[in-house]
Amino acid sequence: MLVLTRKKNQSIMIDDNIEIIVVDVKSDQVKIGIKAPKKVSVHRKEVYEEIQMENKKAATQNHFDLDELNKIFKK
Amino acid sequence: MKYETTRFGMVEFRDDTIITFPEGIIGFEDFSRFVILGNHDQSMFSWLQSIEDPSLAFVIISPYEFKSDYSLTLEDKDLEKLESPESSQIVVYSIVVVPDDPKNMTANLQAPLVINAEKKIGRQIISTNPRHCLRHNILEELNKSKEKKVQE
Repeated sequence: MLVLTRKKNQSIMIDDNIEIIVVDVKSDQVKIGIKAPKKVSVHRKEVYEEIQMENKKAATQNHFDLDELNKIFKK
Repeated sequence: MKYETTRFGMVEFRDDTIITFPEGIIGFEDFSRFVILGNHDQSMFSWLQSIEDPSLAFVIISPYEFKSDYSLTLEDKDLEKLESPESSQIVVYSIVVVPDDPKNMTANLQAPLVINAEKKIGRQIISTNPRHCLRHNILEELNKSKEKKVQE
């Protein structure tokens, strides 16, 4: 992993179109600004990890069949 | 095409019903080709079955089925990745998690599967709407809608 030291208001370029800016630093919190093309997705990593875990949970369920579910959720 | 699945045995489907998720599903990036199995007339639920891993299948539900006021705003980047479908060609599903007591089953509204039905391209997007939560209780929501109808 590449580790760079930056001060407030300094930034990092990734390729020629993504800029990560250190907007503010307060004790143990860093405020970061991201300038990127619209097609680039930016998410907090926790959000992404939670979805990943939820998908894995959904993919490993083997204890029921749809008929059983349909009895509970009558259409 | 025929495909031997772990859960359903041999399944048969038309090639033009195969949906491609170019980036996979979050956590399952290696698998991109799926088919939807199930009889929609009889069931709110369907299966999204991988045709690259016989054991990989998700229970899915259309959020519109259980949440009458559901709406989703798609960002330009998502529409672009879905090859700009007409709005009538956009189909949305949520992945369902079924706990030991199925009554507590939840749908993932935060990361819906959005499909371009015409071109058969899908993508799991991340909704930025704070009302779209990761675990939305389906039965509670259905009961809520019923109560609303009674009041009306």
